[in-house]
Amino acid sequence: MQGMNDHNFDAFFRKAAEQYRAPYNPGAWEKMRRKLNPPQGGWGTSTRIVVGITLLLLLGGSVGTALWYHTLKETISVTKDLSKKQALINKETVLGSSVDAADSQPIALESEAANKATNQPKTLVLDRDSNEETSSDNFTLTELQTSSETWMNASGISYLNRKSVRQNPVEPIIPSLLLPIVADRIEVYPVDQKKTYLPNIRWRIGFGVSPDISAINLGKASQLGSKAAITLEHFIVPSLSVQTGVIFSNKVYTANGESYKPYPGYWKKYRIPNSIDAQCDVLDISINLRYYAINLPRSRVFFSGGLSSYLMLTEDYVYRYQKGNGQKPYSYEHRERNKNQHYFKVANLSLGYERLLSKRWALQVEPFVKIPVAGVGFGKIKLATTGMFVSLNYQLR
Amino acid sequence: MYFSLLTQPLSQQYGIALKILNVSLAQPTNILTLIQGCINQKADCQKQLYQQYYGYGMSICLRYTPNEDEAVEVLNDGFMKVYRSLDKFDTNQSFEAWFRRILINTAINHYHKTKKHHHHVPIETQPEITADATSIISQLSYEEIYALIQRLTPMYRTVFNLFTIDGYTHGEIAETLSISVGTSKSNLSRARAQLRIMIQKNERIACKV
Repeated sequence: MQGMNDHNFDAFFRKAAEQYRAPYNPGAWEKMRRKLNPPQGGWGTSTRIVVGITLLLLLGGSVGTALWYHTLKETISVTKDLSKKQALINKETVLGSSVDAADSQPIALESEAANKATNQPKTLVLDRDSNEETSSDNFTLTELQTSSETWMNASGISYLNRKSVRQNPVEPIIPSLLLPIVADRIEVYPVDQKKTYLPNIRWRIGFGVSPDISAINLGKASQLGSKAAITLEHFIVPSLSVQTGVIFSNKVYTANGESYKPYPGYWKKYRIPNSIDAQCDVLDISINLRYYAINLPRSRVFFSGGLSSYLMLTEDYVYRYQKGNGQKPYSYEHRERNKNQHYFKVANLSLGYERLLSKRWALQVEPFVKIPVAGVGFGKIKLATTGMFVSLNYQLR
Repeated sequence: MYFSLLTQPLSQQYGIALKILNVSLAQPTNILTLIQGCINQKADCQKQLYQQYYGYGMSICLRYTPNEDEAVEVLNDGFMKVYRSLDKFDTNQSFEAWFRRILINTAINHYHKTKKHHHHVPIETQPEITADATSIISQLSYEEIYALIQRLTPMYRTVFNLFTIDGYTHGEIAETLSISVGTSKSNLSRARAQLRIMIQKNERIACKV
């Protein structure tokens, strides 16, 4: 090694490094391709949360609805049995003491029943919701018919045969003693009927709140913001509606400096920061089409999709620089006020579960994702947002 | 020589074999077109740019890492930065120089990230002089030279690369690696010494064969 000084030694390595070119390895590109297009599509943790919440909602909604139906059926069944038994007991007691009177005054009883039937049910019908469904009426009539047949057979009343019962309207021939049964049934149904959806509903307003989880390109989110919304919904048909709303959002997120592209040449003018902390107040004006895919008497599942316009009210950025060029970590603040508006640049997707609380009020739980179609804000960043709206909706006439 | 070839890592042998077979890449297409395509996130342009600059990029990354796998890792991290930052690239400047700067910075970041896993090998300070250096070195292939650099400890390798090949001053190296200028100079000196020892040893092995 004596023949080569440091200068020549270094020059030899320098020359080798400049001239060497590694042969292409297709496997390296394969790794690069996977890095560019990760299998999860870059959706990250937030998407898994949304999917998880959605599945839980669907599962919870289905189980809840199934349980509700089961309970309702049992209630009807028990009520039916009790009513029949009560009817039999009442009838036997009353008829047993005055069977002769009943035999001798069939017409009087019928006319009395007719009077009662024409008066009493009318009163009861007035108590019921005017929009009561026809199917419920049919059910009641059938049940009444069956009950009266049972009663007749059990009581040994022969002159009111089945044919006469079937051929004649049921209500006029109901003895007054059966009215408690009718009243019972009417009382059982309207309690639940009150909580079914009002038909022909056209408009609905809603108030909701949600956490705001914002991240660049649907990547990892760092902090939580919040949202509050007022919405107006118009039903085109019962299962399809157009919803518009104003959502006030407070977005808090962190991204690396390279994600921001304010304008060409900006990062030539300023040193690119290692990270940027952002806090923005945004007015989100959305318009969505909503389809109620599953419609149950007291609950619904819907899908919603549409576009949002972002009006950036305030944008506060803190550029953070780590140690470099002999300097200690430092930061620089940048603010924007009402400078950026992006019309229809964000796509909305959501899936929700709705539960009726009363005739007019409904509670909704709606996980959503907002995917940017173009860069938003001062930094033209692809800011995606997810969260879950919990909202109260009021049905208007 | 053949024995020393066989003692190289498999990746180096693969590279030598390809060189022997005279495998060459297609001629570069217009770099500006590729850059614009990459800005528009066109996958075919990204692939073409990668293929076109793979050899150049690896010639830098291999010097800073102990093996091909880590070199590919650094290269791909560097390419990610390139794809994300191409819109900020000034087309009046040399793409190669810009790309090189990104790769060196990425390699230094990689050095810092893997620093805690580094195991320092005691340097042999008594090289046995057996032959004239010029004659030995002139017989080494590029792959063998790269293998020598890769065998240096991470600190020596980084300092040697930054100073000798990439033209950093000791002041810049000290700042970049968070060490003193004296340590940088000392590490450079020891890196050279270690390389000389390895070259001598290689020669002795080759002579025995």
